[in-house]
Amino acid sequence: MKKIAVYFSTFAVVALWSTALFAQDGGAAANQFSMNSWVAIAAALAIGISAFGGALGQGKAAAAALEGIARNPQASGKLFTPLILGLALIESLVIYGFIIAFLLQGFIK
Amino acid sequence: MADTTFLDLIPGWSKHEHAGWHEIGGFDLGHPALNETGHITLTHAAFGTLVVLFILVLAFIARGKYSNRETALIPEGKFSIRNFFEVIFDGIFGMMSGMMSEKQAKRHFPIVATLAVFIFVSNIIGLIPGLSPPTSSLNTNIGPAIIVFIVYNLSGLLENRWDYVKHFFGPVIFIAPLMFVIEIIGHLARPLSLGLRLTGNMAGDHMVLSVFSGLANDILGAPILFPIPFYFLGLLVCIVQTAVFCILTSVYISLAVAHEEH
Repeated sequence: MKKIAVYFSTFAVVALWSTALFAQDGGAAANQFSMNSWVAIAAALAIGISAFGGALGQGKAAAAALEGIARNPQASGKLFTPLILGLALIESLVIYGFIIAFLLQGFIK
Repeated sequence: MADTTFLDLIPGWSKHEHAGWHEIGGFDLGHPALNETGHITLTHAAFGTLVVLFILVLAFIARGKYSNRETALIPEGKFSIRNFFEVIFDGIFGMMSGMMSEKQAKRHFPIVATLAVFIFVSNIIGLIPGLSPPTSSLNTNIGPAIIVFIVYNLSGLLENRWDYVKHFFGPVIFIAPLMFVIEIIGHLARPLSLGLRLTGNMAGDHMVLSVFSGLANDILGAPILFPIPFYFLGLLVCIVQTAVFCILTSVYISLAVAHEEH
């Protein structure tokens, strides 16, 4: 419990202190190049986090299906269709993130 | 997402398609989600029309085989046009019968089966180099999505009438305003998700194939060998996305026409 308090307070100090650093060079106006960098970082984060979450979800689905096949190899035909359906529905969320990333990439001039 | 297709052989097409029609008209139409950077591109419309014509020709050929009484009852052994349609229709009808009653399944079978054939053929032609799948553009996919939305709402209203509207208001009457808003947003998200899922999968798949073909072109001199695993993946994605679209359509229809048992 004490360790958690120590970690949390360290993180809070670092996070709040670093905003003072950003305030110093906030004097420059937001031009196209600084907008470009934010849009690029946003696009990368969009697809990165979506792919990470999607891979975790699909891994759990595939693991459950493989365990079911290992218990009962003859049920593999009946397990295949729900597995593919589940994977496609999880993947659709990753595709939404990909579409956002692609639209953001179109805004980089 | 504009790529080079056989339509570039038409004189004047590639200059307008890849540069933007707004140079002629002087205005930009569309939102970046529908048309990249506001240029109107016609590749998806041209290929959509070609796909529909192709399916019509196949359908007439398959229909002609049913006119002879003796051979109509016996399924053919090898891959043929009639078998192609029969396999798809059998799968779709079996799936629909599992979700709703026989009468409802027969009533909604034409719309779901037509969507299945159209989306399957549209996806598959994207795997042929030089052709572009019309379903890789949101313009093509929003149409079927809106049709599905209208169909399942109309079916629910015709079947259940006041019960269908009542389920929008939630279980208890005094959280009805909040529940109504949440239900409306959820219902509007359904056609949007149907269209976006198909668009994203097809566009992403096509892009992966083109990137790896370009890589093979740079390294090996010709676009061979590297895209082969992605062709397998592309075939799987084409079939799975058709199935997912039809399964979700059936689920929405079955949820709308289901009678509440107390």
